[in-house]
Amino acid sequence: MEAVCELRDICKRFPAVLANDHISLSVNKQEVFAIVGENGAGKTTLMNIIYGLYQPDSGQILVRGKEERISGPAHAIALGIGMVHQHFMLVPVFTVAENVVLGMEPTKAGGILDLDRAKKEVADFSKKYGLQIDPDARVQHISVGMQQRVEIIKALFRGAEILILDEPTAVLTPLETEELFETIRALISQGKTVIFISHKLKEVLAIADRIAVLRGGKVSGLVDAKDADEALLARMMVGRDVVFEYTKSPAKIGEIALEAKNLVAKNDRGLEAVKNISFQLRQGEIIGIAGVEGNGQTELVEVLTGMRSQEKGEIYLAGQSFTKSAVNALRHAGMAHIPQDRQRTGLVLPFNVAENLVLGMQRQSPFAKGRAQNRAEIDNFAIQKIQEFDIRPQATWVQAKSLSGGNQQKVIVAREIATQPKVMIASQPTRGLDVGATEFVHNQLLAERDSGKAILLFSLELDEIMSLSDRIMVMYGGEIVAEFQGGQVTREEIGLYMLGWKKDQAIPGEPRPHAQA
Amino acid sequence: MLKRKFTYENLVDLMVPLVCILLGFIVGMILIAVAGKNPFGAYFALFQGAFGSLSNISEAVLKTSVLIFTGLSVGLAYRVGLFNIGAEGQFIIGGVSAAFIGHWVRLPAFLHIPLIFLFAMITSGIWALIAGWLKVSRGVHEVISTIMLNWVAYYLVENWLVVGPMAVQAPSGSTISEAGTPMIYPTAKLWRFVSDVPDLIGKIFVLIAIALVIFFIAYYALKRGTKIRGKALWFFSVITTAVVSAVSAVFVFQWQGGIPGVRMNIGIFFAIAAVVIIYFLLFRTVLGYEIRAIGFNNQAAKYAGINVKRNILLTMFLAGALSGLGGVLMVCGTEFRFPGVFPGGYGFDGIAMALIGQNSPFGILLASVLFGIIRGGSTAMQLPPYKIHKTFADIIQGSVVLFISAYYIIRYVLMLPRKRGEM
Repeated sequence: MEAVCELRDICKRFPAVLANDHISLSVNKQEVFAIVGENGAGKTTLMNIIYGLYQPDSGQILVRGKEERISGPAHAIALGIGMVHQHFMLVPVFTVAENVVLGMEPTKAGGILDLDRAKKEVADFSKKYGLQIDPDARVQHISVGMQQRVEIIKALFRGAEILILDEPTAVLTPLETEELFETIRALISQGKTVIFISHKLKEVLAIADRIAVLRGGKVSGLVDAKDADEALLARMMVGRDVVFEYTKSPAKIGEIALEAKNLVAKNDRGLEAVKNISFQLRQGEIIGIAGVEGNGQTELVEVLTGMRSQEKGEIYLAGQSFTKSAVNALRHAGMAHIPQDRQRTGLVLPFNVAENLVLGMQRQSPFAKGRAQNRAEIDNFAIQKIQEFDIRPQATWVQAKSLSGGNQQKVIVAREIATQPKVMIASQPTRGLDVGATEFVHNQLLAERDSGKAILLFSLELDEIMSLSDRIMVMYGGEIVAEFQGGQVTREEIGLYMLGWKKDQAIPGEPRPHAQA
Repeated sequence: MLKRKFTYENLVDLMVPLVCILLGFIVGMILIAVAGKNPFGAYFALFQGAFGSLSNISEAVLKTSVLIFTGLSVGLAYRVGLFNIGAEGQFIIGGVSAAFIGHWVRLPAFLHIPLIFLFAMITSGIWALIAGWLKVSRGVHEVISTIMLNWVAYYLVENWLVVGPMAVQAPSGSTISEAGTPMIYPTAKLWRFVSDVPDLIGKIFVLIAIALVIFFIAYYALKRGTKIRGKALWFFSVITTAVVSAVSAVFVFQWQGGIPGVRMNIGIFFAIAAVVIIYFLLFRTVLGYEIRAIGFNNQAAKYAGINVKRNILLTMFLAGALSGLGGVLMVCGTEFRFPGVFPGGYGFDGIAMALIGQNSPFGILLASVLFGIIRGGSTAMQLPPYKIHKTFADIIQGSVVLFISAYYIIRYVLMLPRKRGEM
């Protein structure tokens, strides 16, 4: 078997983490080579090295047997390596043909754009590879699956022999995924090679010839797809010790603080993303909701915090019913929310730290006196929180946008805890934070739990869920498919549910009677 | 805690609008030179025209006060994230509302003028609210809806109301300059404090106004500058007010003859008051905090439980009311009726004032003062020996706006010396 691309001892270190630790892999011609691993396992870093976006610290890359130093995407394209990113890079108002030829437009004499030739070339390409597409359609009017097809044609048009697909199914519906697989098979039959990056094991097993598993920057396994099953891959993927052990006091469970009954909600594309979810969250406990990204967690958080209206179902906060989106009413009733996107949702970046620390409390005493703001009180409060949470730089007047990610998150955590909530919904509270900041946020959440608050923790990091939660629920395909007591389940077990491999059919949608400690 | 420092970067942020104005003046100079005239002489004439006599200054002040209102209108709407191109339409609606109450309602002055202000603010506020409502309920972009509403207002008022139901019953053979609505009653006219000496009651009102202003200044100055608090604070404020008012009273009651023909009126004080009020609204009230939060980050405002739609509607109403007051000043302060040919354009100039003033109330004030001066003085430039058309003021204003839109480039250039220094 001929190796088209070979990696030898690739190492890449970032300031806080060794992203790739002596990775050696060899990709054969005309195969689908899958790379799986958790978030942060080093998959994307590795692909960016192959595509020339990063330079490795050490190690070699061989393309068709010849060692290459890939200096950038243009060099990679010249070597026949194409990449389709998770987030598409298309011009929405341009047509398919215009997008495909962008940057290498065919011209007539005098440098005039030859759009007819562009259309014809795109049509030829789509015929050759069986990629059905209308060259005249505007990208903004076609589906996400079609847009991905445009990205693939774009790469092929630039002469790609090796095609890297980074999490290609993350944005697709099941049907679109099936169509993508058809496309991949067609490409292979035409002599192309595909590197397929994913953390969805079922899909990887369906399409790949060989599968490499990354864990913590190292290759933890390399198997033929026909010899593998999801259980094996899951063990190789997540089978490692918990990084942080928190000393947790036994949970002092109290009254029901938050209850969801048969919640149904749609996502922005109008598809049902939350399907009949029910649970009860009690005072003094942390429920961790595990799941692979895009299984309805975002929509569930938005419904629970009042930012999205549910189609059906009820929310009870401290016994009071909330059926429509009402952020303010929920906040007043004792709901705090650490959002998953701190810059887009959690902060007003041009506001200073003091102004951000009272966001959502701006109408409350002592920050408001009637309709006027009490700036002295806002500043005092900010100084107190900056010291208590060690927010740096130590200044109330610095704009939030100039803070580091960790300090931005501290501002949000400090503020949400200061609302003295009954229920705290924390959505990926440590996303993108370094080790120290992560530990800080975790300790804050545990302290809140110990003081009798009810916490619902959404996270993509299984370690985080495992080490903090008193109860763990797994979300898959918009449903809660399993529930465990914390500390009584293995990572492998949760992993299998996360990937939709196992499903508790006994408990669809009904409030679970939970065995209490 | 770290102390706040005034950095080079802060300085640059303040410098950018000034550099843009300077560049605009340079463009103006080049154009005058191209036209074969002496640019230095022309600018000299411009400023002499603006400051040469009291009535020249008065004309500049008149223009400034209207520009402040329309500029604040655009600037306030921008703070909530809306681009209010419709200031012109709201300005026209405010003007015609003033003409209506001014002629068709009879009241003593101290009721008539407040009623005009209130009525014009409501009508022009509602006019702006149409665009706000289309935005929040139907997602219609405010740039489109406000532009179209400008034309609706224009044709509604100037091609129907003013020549139809509200037209003055002119004797036959009248010229176009006499067309328009009938004159407003004297009780509706804004006081021209240089030319018109008030009667005894008017003088008492003036004294009360002076006393109120002095009291507020004294109170806040003492509160900020000293450690005096509580009853002592009130006591010292009242003493200061009494002394200053007593001295003023001597001058006010001896006030005999005015200088005729100076059209400057108390509108400028309303405009300055509006600047202070909008500043406090934006930076000292909960509403202003919420408005700015929405303008900067809609999603975060929603997350914080702020009622985004309600705040957008309210801000749009206030923006419309501000433009409308500009129209009131035009009708009650300068024209005394809604004339057949309305001196419009102030609404569009308001966009320029907001851009040059960087949407800050005091920035808008300064920009309006500058362009009030340029507009006031440009009349003088038309006279020999320069004979430069008065639209020249528009050229300077236009080029300054162009440079402002290159904000980041100019900022980058100004930051260069510091960057080199670091290397």
